[in-house]
Amino acid sequence: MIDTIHFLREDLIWPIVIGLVLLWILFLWKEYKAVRNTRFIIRGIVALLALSALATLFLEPVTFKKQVKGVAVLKTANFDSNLIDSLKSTTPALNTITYKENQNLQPQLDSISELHISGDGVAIYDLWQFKNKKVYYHPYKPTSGIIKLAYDTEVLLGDSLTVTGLYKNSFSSNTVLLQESGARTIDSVKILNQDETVFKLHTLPKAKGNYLYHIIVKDSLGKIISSDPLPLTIKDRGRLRVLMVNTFPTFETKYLKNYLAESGHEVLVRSQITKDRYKFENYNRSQKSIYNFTRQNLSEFDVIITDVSTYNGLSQSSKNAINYRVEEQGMGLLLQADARLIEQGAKFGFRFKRKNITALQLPSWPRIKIPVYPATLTKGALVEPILATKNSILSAYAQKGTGRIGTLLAEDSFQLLLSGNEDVYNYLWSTALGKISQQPQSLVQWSLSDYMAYIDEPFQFNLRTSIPLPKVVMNNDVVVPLVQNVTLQDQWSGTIYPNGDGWVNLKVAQAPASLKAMYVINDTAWRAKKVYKQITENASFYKNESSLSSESSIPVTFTKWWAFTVFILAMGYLWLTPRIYKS
Amino acid sequence: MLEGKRHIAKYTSRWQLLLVVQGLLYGIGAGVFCWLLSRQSGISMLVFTLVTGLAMLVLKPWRITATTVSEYLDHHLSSAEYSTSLLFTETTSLSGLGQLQQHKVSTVLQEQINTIRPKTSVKTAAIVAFMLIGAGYVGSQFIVPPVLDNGDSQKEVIQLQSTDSITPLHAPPVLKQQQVTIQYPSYTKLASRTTSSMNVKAVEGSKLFWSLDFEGFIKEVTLEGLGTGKKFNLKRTNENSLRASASLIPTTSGYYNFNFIDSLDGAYTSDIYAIEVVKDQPPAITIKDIAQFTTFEHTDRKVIDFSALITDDFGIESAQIIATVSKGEGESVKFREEKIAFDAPITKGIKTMTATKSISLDALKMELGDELYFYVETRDQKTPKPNITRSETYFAVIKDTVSDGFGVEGTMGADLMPDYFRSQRQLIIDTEKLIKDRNTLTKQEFTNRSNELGFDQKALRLKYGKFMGDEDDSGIGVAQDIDMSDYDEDDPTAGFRHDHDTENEHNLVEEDHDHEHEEESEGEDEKETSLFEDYLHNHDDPEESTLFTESLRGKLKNAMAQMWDAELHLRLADPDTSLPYQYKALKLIQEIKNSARIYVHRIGFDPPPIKEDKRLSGEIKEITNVFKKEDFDNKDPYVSMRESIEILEKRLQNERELTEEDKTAFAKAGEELAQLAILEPSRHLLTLQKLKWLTEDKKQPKTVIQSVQKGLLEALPKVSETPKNLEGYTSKLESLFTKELQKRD
Repeated sequence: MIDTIHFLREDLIWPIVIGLVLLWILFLWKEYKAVRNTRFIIRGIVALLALSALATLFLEPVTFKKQVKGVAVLKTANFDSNLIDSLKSTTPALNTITYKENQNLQPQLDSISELHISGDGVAIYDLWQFKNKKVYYHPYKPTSGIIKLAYDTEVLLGDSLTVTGLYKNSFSSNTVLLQESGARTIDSVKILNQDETVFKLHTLPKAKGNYLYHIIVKDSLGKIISSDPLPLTIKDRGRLRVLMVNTFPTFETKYLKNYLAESGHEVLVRSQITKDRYKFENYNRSQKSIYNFTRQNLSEFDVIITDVSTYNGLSQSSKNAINYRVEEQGMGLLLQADARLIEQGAKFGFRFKRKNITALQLPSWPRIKIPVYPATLTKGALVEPILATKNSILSAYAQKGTGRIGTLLAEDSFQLLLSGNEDVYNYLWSTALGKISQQPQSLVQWSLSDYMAYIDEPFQFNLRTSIPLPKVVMNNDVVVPLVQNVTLQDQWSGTIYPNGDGWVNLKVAQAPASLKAMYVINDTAWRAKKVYKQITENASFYKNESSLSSESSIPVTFTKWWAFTVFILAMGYLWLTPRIYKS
Repeated sequence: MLEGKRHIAKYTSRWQLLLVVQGLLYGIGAGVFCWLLSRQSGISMLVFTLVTGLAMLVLKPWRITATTVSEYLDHHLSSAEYSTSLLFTETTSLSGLGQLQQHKVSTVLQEQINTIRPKTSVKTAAIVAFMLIGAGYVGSQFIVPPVLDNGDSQKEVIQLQSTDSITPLHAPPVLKQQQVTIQYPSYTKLASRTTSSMNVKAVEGSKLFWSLDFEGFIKEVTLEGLGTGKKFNLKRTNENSLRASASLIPTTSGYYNFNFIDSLDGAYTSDIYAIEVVKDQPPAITIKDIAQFTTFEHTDRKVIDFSALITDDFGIESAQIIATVSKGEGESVKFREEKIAFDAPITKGIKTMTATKSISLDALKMELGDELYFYVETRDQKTPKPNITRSETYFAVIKDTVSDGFGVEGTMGADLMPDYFRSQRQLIIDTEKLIKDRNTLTKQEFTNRSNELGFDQKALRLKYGKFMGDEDDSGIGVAQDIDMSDYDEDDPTAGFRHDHDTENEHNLVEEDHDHEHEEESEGEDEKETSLFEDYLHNHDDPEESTLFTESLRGKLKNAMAQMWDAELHLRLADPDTSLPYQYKALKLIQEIKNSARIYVHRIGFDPPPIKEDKRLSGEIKEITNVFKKEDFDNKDPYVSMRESIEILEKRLQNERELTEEDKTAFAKAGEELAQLAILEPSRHLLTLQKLKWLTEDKKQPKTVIQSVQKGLLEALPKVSETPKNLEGYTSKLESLFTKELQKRD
């Protein structure tokens, strides 16, 4: 019997027992002075009784009662009444529970051995309540609308934005539109009358900032069916710091230099005039010259563009400095392609294969022939292609320590400029240089659990940072508690509960540049997507948790009147008896 | 007989009605035509009335009376037996026969009157009207409004808008009348125009006068934009009204608006208006009746005749010929420039004129080998700086008799190429022309011309043959005087042949030199071959006697074989078959020419070898490092526009109110947009105007902000691609991983 009695406030047992003993000793000591006969013993026992009763009042003893669990159905949004009816007919004692978000269902669930859930399921953040429960989930109506969405929430100016989505159950031929801020429609796609349609929308953003684009669905008559926000952060592209070194000036270098300088990058071009005499061209940077390369002076550059013969002609200390910067500090080295590079590629980690080609076409510009050297790069564990066609690699980089050595096999690519194919030229060099150049190391890397958060719903985020004890602040105001990953010391996660729609800023207090903007939407936006996610999460959640007994023991609290009565009586006795004896 | 009479009367009115309809149709046609072209109802109504009236006068529907109808019916209805007039006579006064006839006619009319049509041409009138309307519609699609149309018809009223966000308590000033007067420069001879539309189109140099009449008191009126902040002069015209006036000579196209300040310091602004400055076009010159290059033999009459068509939009001031004569060659060349007037003096201010001139080269004291370059220069009446136009330059050369030949580079010791070197191309052109003209030519003509071409082909072949060492025994191309009279009368082909060359045909076909007929042209031969005697090894064997390298000779031989085939088919009056051979021959000749050129590259300066120890030991003290610095930071001309878009987005998302700084950014963005707006006013003007509202104190609704943002986004050009450096994050684990990977690579 005794082991069936438990206390609800088990945490208070020891303090209360100690206090009780102390009080009793105090009482005994006091009584011992006054009376020294059998009354002392009686009074001591009564006092102990009173104190015990008092402790019981605080500790709330309970006893567990065995109970046979029943079957219940949980009605969530869009539940199927037919299903409930048929369940009722098979199980007359069916318990019906109506689901409300954020509600504690534990008491009801404890008496249930088998639960049916009908409808769209419970909110994802409520799923934990159904852990280790035998649950059958019956989703009802299939949703209609955009159920999946994929896009980059952060885009660099000049990059294109692609929004990919999945439209389910289009009943008429609807149109999906991408609307820029300023209600300007920039792309649209017709959705066919099909079960599922994947659609893609493109645009080239033109100005930086935090924007709210919209995905609008219109029916065939032009009536707006839905309009959902698409938060987007457009960031300014950074500036590259480029060093171009050549023993003699070439057209390739000249045009590349012009292109980079005109795009606003910092460029230093060193071309040799004669022995120990150079021409230094500084674009968008303060005037400086560079003779021998050292770790110090190379730290001003993200990438060096040079050719193999120039590289070979450098002094050993210069070469060492370059290698140190590349391998240890992540600088990029772009070797301009020529016959010598193809010969000596292995020295830089490349493997070339001779190939009888003179020109290549990129898939994006199938009509434009890019003149190339008659060779192709081969992939390796550390060689990653940058630009490739089906059977040829045009540009690749070899990982060297933290840095990269890359090349672009286009021959006299400036001809593309001359023939008016500026787009292709820009694409080739910006892609290659973008990959090869040193990436500025950010202190913090964020990853959010979704593209946007909902009001009053938990939203999880992860971050990787080398800062030992990061402190994440929301909207410069609320500190968000973080949980560190057990094995990966630099990985942290946290949850926020946004309370209003609009932009929310997260940032690590120690790194002010780590600002991450995210958007909070209200419950009505992206309805189909949310419901679809909820249904899939529900379906996968319950599948795993379908075990457990059909019996449960329920805690039954003792009524506290007993303890109170005992306490009052005991206190009454203790108070009254001295007076009786006196009189 | 009443029945018959009634028919006649009905017929009369029907006739009259049809004539009226006919007249109306003409009138409607003309009226609608006029309206479609002019869009002015007043003129159209007038035209309609005039044309209808005129048609009525011509058609005279009132002239149609019962008598006319009865006569007409008598003529056209034989069954009426010329008796319709009986119907107008009282039955009682007629004889029995008359009565019978009257009755008969009445019955006939009743039955047949509808078969006779009154003499009208409603159909024609309808067609004419329809065609007029159609022509008017088509015309209206093509008619371009006149260049200097400032749209008088559309009355625009300047809208005053308070710039303050608080609505003023007192009534804003009332603009009673507005007008702008455009005074065109005097040389254009255009009369001043006054219009109430504030969007102005004016010729460069025009002066604009604005005059605004207000009711109520205005403290200040300024003209904003166009780089000016011009204040208006205010003059009180009577007790309660004011006149503000200002003038300006706009230099470039642009936009302006008015700012008003009333007596209580309330500020108002107007919409933005455009001023388009139309440039005075420079005169245009077209020179006719002359080729760009004219050559004269010294025996020719050395006169150049030509005419020049000169046009200008406002008037020509002067036109003259600038001629340059060059004498001599190489370094001793001398130039002499002369201004020559046209034959007739130029009428100043004329818009289109044709001037003629005949230049006598002798009068210019030109000698053999001299060249004349000339062009026509004309200027218009534009002040202060006239537009000057020059025509293309034309050349005239008097051929020098001394040096006249074609040289093939400097690779061969002798100038071997014949004068006729390019004539294979000419032959092809002529052959192609012949094929094209075949349908228009008689058979004889066609055969004749084909045969002639064959002859030319032969001549060319023989010319080349000389280089091969073939003996030229035909006399072709050299012997000019050939007796044409001795052909056989019975020979039907006689007229189409050049018998003079057929004599030698068999000699030329087989290259094995049958010298049977050699005597005939021996003299010529000697003359030709003697030229090469110095260079030839005189082996007499054509295979040996050549100056060309082996392959070149082969090619030339091949070319001649092709020429032979070409000639054969030309002779057979089958130019189509001949053409491919000609092309092959041409290609081979081209190759021969080009291969001759290759020798140029072989000859060059061979520097003496440098001693090894001297290499790379030059003095470079004087050579210094070169430094260059350039900044392209401000390359993006739309910085403020991009910034404004971001500000507006923040405002739209209720993140903040617009600050003074924001307004400065908008003002800058406005300047940037104005540059684009000048090129495409219709596209950006509205955005520009709304952007201006945003810079003012008055709060603008969200729709305005949204439309400005949209307009700016639309105006911005595509962002070009450039390398980006995306921030990355490398954890310790990752760097360890790559290091390990590299070790094992």
